[in-house]
Amino acid sequence: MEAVLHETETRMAPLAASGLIHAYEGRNVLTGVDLVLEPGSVLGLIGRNGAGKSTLIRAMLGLFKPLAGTATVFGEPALTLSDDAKARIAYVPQQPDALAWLSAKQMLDFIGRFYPRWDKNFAASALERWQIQPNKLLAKLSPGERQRVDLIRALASQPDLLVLDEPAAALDPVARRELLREVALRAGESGTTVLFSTHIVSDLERVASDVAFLHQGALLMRCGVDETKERYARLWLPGHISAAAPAHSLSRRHHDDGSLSLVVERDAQGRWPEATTLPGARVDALGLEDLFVEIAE
Amino acid sequence: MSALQILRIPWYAMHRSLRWLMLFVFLTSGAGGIASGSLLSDKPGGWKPSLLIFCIGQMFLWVSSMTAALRLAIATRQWRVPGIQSQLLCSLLLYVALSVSVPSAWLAMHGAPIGPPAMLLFLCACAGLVFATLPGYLMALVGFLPGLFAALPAYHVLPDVSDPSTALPVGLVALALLLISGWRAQRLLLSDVSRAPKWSSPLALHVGSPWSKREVQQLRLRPNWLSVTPDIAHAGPSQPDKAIRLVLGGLYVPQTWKGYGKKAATLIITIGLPLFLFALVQMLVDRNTVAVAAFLGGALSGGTGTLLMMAGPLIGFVSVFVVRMRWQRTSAELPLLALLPRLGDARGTRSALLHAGLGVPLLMHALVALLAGVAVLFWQTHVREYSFFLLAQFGMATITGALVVNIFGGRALALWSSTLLLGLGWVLTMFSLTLPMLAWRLDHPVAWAGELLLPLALAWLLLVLAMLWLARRGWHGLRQLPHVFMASQ
Repeated sequence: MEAVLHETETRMAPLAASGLIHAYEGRNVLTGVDLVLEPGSVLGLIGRNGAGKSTLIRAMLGLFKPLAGTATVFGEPALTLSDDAKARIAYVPQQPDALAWLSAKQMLDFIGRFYPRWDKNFAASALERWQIQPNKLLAKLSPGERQRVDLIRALASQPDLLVLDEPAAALDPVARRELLREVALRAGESGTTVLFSTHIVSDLERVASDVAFLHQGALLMRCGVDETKERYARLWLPGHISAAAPAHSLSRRHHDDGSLSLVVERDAQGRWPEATTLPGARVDALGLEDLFVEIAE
Repeated sequence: MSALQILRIPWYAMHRSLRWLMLFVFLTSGAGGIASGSLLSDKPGGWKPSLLIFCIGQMFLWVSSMTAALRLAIATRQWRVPGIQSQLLCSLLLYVALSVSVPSAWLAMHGAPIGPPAMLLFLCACAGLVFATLPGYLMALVGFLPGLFAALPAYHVLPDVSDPSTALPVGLVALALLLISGWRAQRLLLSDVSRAPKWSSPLALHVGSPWSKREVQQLRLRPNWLSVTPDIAHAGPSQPDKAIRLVLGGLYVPQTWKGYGKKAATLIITIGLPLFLFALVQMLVDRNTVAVAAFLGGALSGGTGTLLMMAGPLIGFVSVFVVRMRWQRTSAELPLLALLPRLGDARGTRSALLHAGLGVPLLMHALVALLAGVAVLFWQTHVREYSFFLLAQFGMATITGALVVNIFGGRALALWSSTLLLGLGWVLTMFSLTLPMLAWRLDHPVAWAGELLLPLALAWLLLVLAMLWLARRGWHGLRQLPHVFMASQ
């Protein structure tokens, strides 16, 4: 029964991936990733450079064919999306460079023709609010301005699913804050589902409802942002009891003095692993950034 | 540093693609010169065509070598690497000496005098050095050279390369060019190179970055009056092929009539104004209308010849590289197209893509063929010469089409093999224009040129058949893709 429910949930999810595997140039980039986004959730995808975040996003949107696994968008196979599904998606790639030969106004005017729910007024007012000259060629805009124009392009289509690949990379702190506010607003008021990848943990804490850690092509953990402090901790074991460390941990680091640091997780009953009770063992609560560093290092 | 290392410097300084292109042109011009000299060895002055071919190769060699050397010199100065500048200079001087002395010696063995050909080769090397260091837009002047050479004999007696007295003036001009290039290179080295290159920056500062970045850089640097005027009216779900053209960019972008007019006016003014001014000055000085008319006629025929020789291969090169760039940039136009709704169903989108991606270059090839037809009528040339030109355009169009379809089908050929195919098409196009002329149009037709026409036609036929097979391979790939805007990753 649970399996059927899970399958139905996955089928109806705005974005879902199952067993995605991909490799290029002899390197594994995705090693069997399963990920489902619930409607209205804001999932922050976090990971180091080269962890496979962009590849995962691109595979989930059907922009290339992975070696194995499937991805669906609003229940449709990502590789053969219908016009209806496409009209509900907006994707902003990392360092958007598209259509550099058009002006911002021409680009928005052109793209808007394809989207039935295109918000012309939002596009015009956002250009004005973000002080972007509408008649200036996109090639002549700064990287931050280019990114903002692409965000306007994505938001003006009033998507049900917004996918942002490192959207804040080229933005100044003020523009970043504005973007996050807009994302939170869309998710809160319109129920837009958002997937965004980032390195900036504070952005994630500010807007995401869930977080997923991608490390070396594998999804190490996925949970609610507020849960992380409760659910994960760093366990330090001195050298003489390090052999008693739990077999399962999210990360494991040996120190020169023989001691051991691990990131451990509560079990289904909410209990820490037994080793935390050993004399000399120390359990430290981890903030999101510390957790990321512990796992990714 | 050893002599071997000094010899290796230009090779390592060059970007990989430029390195192979340079090697291809160098080998082609070398082989072409040697073949021509061997074929004409029993004719008086039979070494002259070889010298011409060597000179073209020499110019290209030195534009690319100086460009690479300058970039390396600028980079090493920025990084404060000691000792490289002098080694670079040694390497350049050594290669100038080799590139002049080796072909001169070969020409001398085939009956040429030593002095004038050596000086002419030196002049070409220096011209290459100057072009690499002068503002990039002056490269357009290269296009004027054939027209100028065709026009000048009507007005001035050009020095004969067989005449030993030619060596001194040619050598002096070469020396002047060498000094100019040295002065420009020195200025570039001392200037603030950390800033982004400007429109007027030399070629050396524009090349070296990836094509995709260079495209955006070019758009950024281009003055507003030279920027394209895209026609976005009706580009949307009602006209998906026009929308795709707009997204493909480059030569595919549909432009307004005003935009096309602006482009044509710029071209006419750029080409026509210098000719008009030159003719006006000559009229005022000499009042010799016959000579001026002959000069303009020569310029027109030379310019048309260059255009016809270059247009087909250029259309191929540009179309293939634009499409290739779009399919390589996985976070730019391709995802945008892949997720754009209302472009049509799978079959409709595929047909719109093919229509957009092939329609523009094929139309351009057809326009070049039409222009050639007009030229045939104007100069009352034989239709049989035109037939070889049509064959060349058709051949180039099949190369362009096959390469583009393979990119669309996710089976893009490696850069070197695409360049090789387009280069081969260019060489055959040159032969298709020159051999019929040598065989049929001269007062004293060259017999061997006539004998080569059948093998030339067969070479085109083989190439066209190979391209049809290649296009079929691309088409199969395209049909197997889940959607047509799929990145090959």
